[in-house]
Amino acid sequence: MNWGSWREFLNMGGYAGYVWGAYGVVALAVILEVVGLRARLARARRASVRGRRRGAG
Amino acid sequence: MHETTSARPGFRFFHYASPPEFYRLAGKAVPAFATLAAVLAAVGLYLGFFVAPTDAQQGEAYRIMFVHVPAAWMAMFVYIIMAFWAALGFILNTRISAIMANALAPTGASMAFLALWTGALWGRPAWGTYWDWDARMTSTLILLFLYMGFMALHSAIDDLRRADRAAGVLALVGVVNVPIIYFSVQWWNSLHQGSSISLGRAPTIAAPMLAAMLVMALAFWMYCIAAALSRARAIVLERERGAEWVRALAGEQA
Repeated sequence: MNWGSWREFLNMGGYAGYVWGAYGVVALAVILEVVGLRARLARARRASVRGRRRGAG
Repeated sequence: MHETTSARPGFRFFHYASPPEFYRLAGKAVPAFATLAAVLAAVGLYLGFFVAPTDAQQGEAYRIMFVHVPAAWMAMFVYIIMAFWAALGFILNTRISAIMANALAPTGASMAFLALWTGALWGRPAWGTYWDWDARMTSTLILLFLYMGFMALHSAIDDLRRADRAAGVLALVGVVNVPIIYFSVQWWNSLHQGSSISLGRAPTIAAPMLAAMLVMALAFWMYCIAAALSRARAIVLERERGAEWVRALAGEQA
């Protein structure tokens, strides 16, 4: 175990800005991509339903 | 439904390369790869923050390595796979090839950006600078531009087949950049350190650090597969709009 307390963990030996700046942006990129992918898939599905109605009508 | 293709058990690629079959199969694969990525990331982060010791020279700043190295590896690897699919598109002319190349590009671009971003935040405490126009960093920036160029070129051409071909040529030409990135630290005198691990040589970092890095690399790998397959499914639906099987699929959901 490297850390005596949460405070110590969050402080990262004085490198908090660098370490959390790196991990934070990685997390942000993953979240944005996953949200974007879900939205795109949902949009494509909705469009295919519309296409079906057009095709049927 | 697919009696004709399943009658030929030998070479199944073209069977799975048919858009409906691909859509169905990828739909099962995405949650599996996403779960693997999440589990591996949890293990990797635990190893990276709680098991791997503080570095004697760099203190805690070195922990950026556990996301920096996987992102940089994936940025290169995804590009090679993207170029592979582009090449396959030219050779076999299957629809799924161009779809896969297009599905990989944004994820690869994200990885290249993350490699540069985390590298800058590591470079500042380690070398005293966020950025230097040395071979490793410049060639990685070019990799990011290649991904962005691929996407921009594809979206700039209206005709889908021509867009696939033009972007495919760009992807193939850009492949020369990948070995340049990889070997840049050997070929040129660079601020960037050499590889900590490489084939045929003992790793130069401690075992817990290496374990954390490799588990995180696997997590990134699984994530890239899940993201690319998920995007490929969306592209399949977008491109096949109006096709009989997509209408049938919409009927199931309605």
